[in-house]
Amino acid sequence: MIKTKIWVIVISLILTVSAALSVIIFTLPKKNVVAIYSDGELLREIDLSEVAEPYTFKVEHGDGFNEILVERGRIRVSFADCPDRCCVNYGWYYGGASPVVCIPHKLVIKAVNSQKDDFDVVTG
Amino acid sequence: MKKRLFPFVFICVLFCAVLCGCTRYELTEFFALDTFVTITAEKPNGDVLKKAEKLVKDYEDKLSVTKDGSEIKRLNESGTLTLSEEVAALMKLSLSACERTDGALDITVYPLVKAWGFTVGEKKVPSSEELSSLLPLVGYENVTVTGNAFTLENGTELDLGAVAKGYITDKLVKLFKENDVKNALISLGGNVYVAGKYGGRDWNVGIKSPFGDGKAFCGVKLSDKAVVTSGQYQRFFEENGKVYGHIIDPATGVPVDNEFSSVTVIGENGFWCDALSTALFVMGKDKALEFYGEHGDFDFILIMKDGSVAISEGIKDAFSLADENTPLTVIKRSDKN
Repeated sequence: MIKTKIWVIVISLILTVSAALSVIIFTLPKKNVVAIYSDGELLREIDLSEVAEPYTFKVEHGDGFNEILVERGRIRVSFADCPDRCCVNYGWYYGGASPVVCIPHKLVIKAVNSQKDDFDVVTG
Repeated sequence: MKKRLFPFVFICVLFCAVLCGCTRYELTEFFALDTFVTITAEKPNGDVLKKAEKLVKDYEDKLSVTKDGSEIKRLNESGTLTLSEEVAALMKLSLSACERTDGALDITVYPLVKAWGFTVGEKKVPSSEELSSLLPLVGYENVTVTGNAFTLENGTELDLGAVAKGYITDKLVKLFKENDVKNALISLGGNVYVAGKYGGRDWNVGIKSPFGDGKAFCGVKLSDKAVVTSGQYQRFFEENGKVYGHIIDPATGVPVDNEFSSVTVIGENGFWCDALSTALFVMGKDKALEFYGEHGDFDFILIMKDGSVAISEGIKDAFSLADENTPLTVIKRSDKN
């Protein structure tokens, strides 16, 4: 009888804590973290929701480079000396399912974990 | 006593079952085919994702128009070559796509693509004299086939860029089926195939806005379908205030500039979706809808430059717009037949 009560308390505790954690996790303000990779190597992660002032930085690759502009909630390649400039033409990235990619410089900017849109993948 | 314990044991088992039942997806990402490849598969057996990466890179080595030693580059350089069984099969399929689309898709457009600088070199507007001299080189009729031996007449050159990703996608789908991977997402730089389901629901595929705002313009929920989009909004250059996109009209030699901002084709076969997305883009709205009426074995999303959208009736229930005020037309095949 006593053992049963202990089990009841343990299971109830586990379920209550799980439920509480779920509520906390799902109601926390979502971060919008993007990761910047160069040739597969993670260079840095930026939480776009916490950018106070716009800033730029350069990512160099061989003789070339991409200039990244970061603003609150969004990021883009503002300049690149690559031949096709698709990364610049991409425009602003808000953390959706379609990463920003510079093929010649093997640069990728993509969302970490949760994405800002509801899509599993984006074509185009 | 045992009876009283049962509900709690049951809850525990259920709890564990939910935790253990969390779907396991694995992801591989790499650069190939002049794009960024993302492949996600549910519970892949052993090294199937490694096999998938190898498959893509092997095809790249054979089909690249710029890689030394590729069969296509060697054919372009020598003018005649006996191709491997696999590449010959793709070549024959590609020529049938050129014929089916009445040359709107033309795999011999490469001399023009080079002249505009979209593959190698600096992007520039060629002189009208240069274009006039190159246009006779373009035409899929310039390719003669004897078995697996291909000959390029009149100095023409090939580029399978408009169909290769779709074809390779089909090979990846086949690989996954053979390895019992039911649920997977393949994206060869936005050339997409969604297999099975994601967490029990259809995959939600976004179509990128062609208007440069970095967001999805619309979406469509799909399962076991290829989705391929063509547009001029990412690969282009500007000269004297005019924008020139990378999709060249084989008939005129200049970049396509019509009412389309992007054309998305949805169907079961990656190759045909890839081929048709380019072909419909080249055709323009009237011819594209006429083609749909005649063939109709695919669905489409046409985003116009004026911001309106036309979709085929087959996807109307799975389709959604980011902005519900966007003008939308649903095209019935029977109206165009």
